Amino acid sequence: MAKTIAANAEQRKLIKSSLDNLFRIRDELMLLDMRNAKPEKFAEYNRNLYEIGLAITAFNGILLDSINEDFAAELPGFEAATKKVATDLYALRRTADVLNAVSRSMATITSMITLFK
Amino acid sequence: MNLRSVAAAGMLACLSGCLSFEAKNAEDIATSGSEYTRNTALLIDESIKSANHSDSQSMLFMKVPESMLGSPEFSDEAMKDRLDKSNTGLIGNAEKAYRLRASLDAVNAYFIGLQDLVRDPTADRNAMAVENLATQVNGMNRALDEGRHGTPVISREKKDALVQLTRVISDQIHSRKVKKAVKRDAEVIATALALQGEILDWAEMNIFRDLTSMTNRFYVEKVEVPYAEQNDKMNEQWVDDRMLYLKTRAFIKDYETRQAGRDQSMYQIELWSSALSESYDQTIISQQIKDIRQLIAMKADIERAAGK
Repeated sequence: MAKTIAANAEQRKLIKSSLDNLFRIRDELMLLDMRNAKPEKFAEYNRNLYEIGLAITAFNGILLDSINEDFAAELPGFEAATKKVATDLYALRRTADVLNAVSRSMATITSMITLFK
Repeated sequence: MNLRSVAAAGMLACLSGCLSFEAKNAEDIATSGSEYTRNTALLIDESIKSANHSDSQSMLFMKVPESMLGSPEFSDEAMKDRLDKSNTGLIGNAEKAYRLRASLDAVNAYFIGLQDLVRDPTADRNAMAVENLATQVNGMNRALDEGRHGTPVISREKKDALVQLTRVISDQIHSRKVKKAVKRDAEVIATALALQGEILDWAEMNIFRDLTSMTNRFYVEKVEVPYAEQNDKMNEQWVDDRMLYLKTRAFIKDYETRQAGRDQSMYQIELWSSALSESYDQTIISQQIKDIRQLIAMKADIERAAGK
């Protein structure tokens, strides 16, 4: 496996762990009963919840970018492997194609022999 | 049947058996690889849906009371800006997820190609081609011979033996080709599977956290508040809702424990090397997908109950 992918994977592990913490904080906040909170307390709560939402989206975006980047780097390799497998399949089919072509030629020749007898 | 024929038949049966075992292994790899890739692609969509849903759920929690709406922080304009900013991030992530899906299509194309290679009826096709050829040889010989001898140049026994030999040799060539392809592509496919493992971890996190936030909201709205206020929502439905909450909460706790115990890293699992050592076990990769499907089912239960 490419070294860069392994390095990126380590970074992603850290991002995932931070993302998970943000989710947990949001869950905790969502369990708070703010129905009777004072306006300034509610405003602070509202702000925090909103900012955490933005941060979660941003971390998700960073993770997606990073995985996309690694996939893009590997894409030529995947495509080349797919082509090679297709070539293998073609090679397997070729033997029968050649034999069938010989059979067809022989059938034609046999017909000609019978015809000119 | 003479002794030589018995020995030859036994050897052919043994060879065919060994080869079909290898082909079965490769077929398992190709089939579950393709299934895994398709499932991962579907879970990307589910993950994006969950991320958007939990973000929207949290917005319901921060619903500003009417008395505060006049303040500059919560003015119409400010609220629209906030929503725009949030939408931009979520839309951007959905676009990134579509790119990931396209990459997975490329990986799936490989597995479909491998499946075609494994399932190719090489032996049958070649055996039929040889049989046809033998028939044509006999036919041509008959035509040239002008029926003087009457016996075919390739006897029925010889023809059958030739066909059977072709079948065995073709099987060997086919099997070798498949094995070679799997070995040759091992590294690139191991990388694809490792990256897919990461996608699954990411998807699982978003789906799981959406379930927890839905459960929290469900609890507050349907269980806690009616109980605290002793209002008219304290009825038979409240009993069902509380039971569902308790069940889901227990599920979440259990899931967290199982998740922590599960070896998340696809790098450590070394999937492909286990495949090459012929100890391939598709349950390893399908377990996480099964777990995530359970999460989605639980989310649907909560969603249904919340809508009542």
